Amino acid sequence: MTDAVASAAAAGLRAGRRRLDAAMMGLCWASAAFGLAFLAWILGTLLWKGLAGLTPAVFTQPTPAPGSVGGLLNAIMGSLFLSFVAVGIGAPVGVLAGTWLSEYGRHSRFAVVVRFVNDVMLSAPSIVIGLFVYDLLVAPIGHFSAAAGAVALALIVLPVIVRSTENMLDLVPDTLREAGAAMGMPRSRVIRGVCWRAARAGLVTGALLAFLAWILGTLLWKGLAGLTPAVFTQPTPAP
Amino acid sequence: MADIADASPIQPAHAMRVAFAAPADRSGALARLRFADALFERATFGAAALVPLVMSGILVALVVGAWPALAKFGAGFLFNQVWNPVTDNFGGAAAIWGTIVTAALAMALAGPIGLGIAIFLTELCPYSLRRPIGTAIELLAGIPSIIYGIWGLFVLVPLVQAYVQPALIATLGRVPLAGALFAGPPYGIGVLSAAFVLAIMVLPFVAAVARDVFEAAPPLLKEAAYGIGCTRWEVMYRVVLPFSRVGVAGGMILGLGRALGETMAVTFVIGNAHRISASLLAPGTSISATIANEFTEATTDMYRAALFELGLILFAITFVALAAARWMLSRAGGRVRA
Repeated sequence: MTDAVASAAAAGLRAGRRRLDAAMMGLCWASAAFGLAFLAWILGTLLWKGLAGLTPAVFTQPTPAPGSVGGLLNAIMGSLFLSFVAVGIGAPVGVLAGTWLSEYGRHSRFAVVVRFVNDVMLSAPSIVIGLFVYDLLVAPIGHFSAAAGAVALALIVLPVIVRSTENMLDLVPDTLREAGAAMGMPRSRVIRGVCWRAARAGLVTGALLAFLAWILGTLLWKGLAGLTPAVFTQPTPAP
Repeated sequence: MADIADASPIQPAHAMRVAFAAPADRSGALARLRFADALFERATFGAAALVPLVMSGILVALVVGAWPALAKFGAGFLFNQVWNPVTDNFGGAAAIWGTIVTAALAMALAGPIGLGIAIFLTELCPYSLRRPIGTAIELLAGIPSIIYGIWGLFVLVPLVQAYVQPALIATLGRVPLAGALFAGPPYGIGVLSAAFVLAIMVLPFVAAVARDVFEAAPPLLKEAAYGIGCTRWEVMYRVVLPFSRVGVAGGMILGLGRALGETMAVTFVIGNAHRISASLLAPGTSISATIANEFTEATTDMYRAALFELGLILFAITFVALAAARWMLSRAGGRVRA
């Protein structure tokens, strides 16, 4: 091939590659815009419709019969009760389990098993956990209860807390632990006084943020005018 | 020496005082400390052992609850479409099919879009906007699923019913063979709408994992590719993606796990009809939607057992998907994100 033909062919090829690049990058911009647009749409509808239905009565009156006016007091109190009890059960167990994973069992075979099972439970369908708690706490007793709901929520929250505790404790440098040991502290003291204290900020912020997001999200939607509250008082765990 | 102990921020005062106390006190105190230490370790181990214990409990509870249905229907449960509470004849085919189809469609949508967002975040986005937009995308993952369901039903479905589905039926519905996929009246709800809402829910997971893996690609490799004249797309497609292939696939399977198990969003939008139809615009059902809708109405033991069996099948499907994801991600050596 002569030089002129070769360079013309090369230029054509370059132009084609540049066009493909432009097209693909355009699609990437479009994907980002897609994701952000839906986020804005969902959050926007949430705030728009939710805030419109938010009156003081929402916080002071219980749910009415369909068609009449009332509030969401019992639903709100139910949500708060469930959340507090669930975190109250799940957090201590989760923190202890995460501590074991990070401190005592770091590389042991059992720790590998526990981490795997934890991740499975983290992503497992929550409805399956609901079935389990039904079998355990509802069927034998004979009726639904807030306690059963709280236990189910605790089981859903537990893997999250285990995971985040383990991650936060892994960030604490070993030199701190060695310093504690060098001063003669027993291991449990080292963990409690050094590691937990160091990781405290991260643990609390994480848990608080998750809790707040959940509460605010479900509460804002409950302010939607005209929506029957019965949907939200089902025993199956929601998020 | 005592003042050093008291001034220490960690306050190992007790231990320090023990060290300087009389020998008799010291051995007693040490023994107590040793006991407390062992107790602490046992307590944390017990808590950690609780996790696999709970999971085996879940498995056992599911199998025990499903036993009547397992015994009566056997393997035919997987293929039988009939769901008749009156005659106690149950088949999970419609629910299983719905679960798999919505999850597969959702992944088909969310996979490329999630990758596109990850490429945007690592290559195209202005530096100052990277963290805010990255956080915004992750915020999509944090929205409770019931809100997706409500938004889907009250906001998206009317729009889809009025504009999108009639357009699909008029255009793609006319295509000779594939047209059957888009046949039928525009209900608004249906398998396609449910898959779309699921795709938006799964999208942030794929994007976050892909972004993490792309950022782990060695800059030297990318610069070498740029150096020989590759365009940005060629660098991503021929250098970064092959490098991150296993991690990205693992992330997608993680998103698949979420899509398979998603309950509230799908329940609101899928239409809850126990049948398998060729059209994507027709209503269907998924396993989790069936359980959520019918569990409190399950009057007979066989009905409840059938629902438990559906739960067991769903758990098995999700377990396999997640095990595959973990295995792939551990091979890639990348971080495993929830």
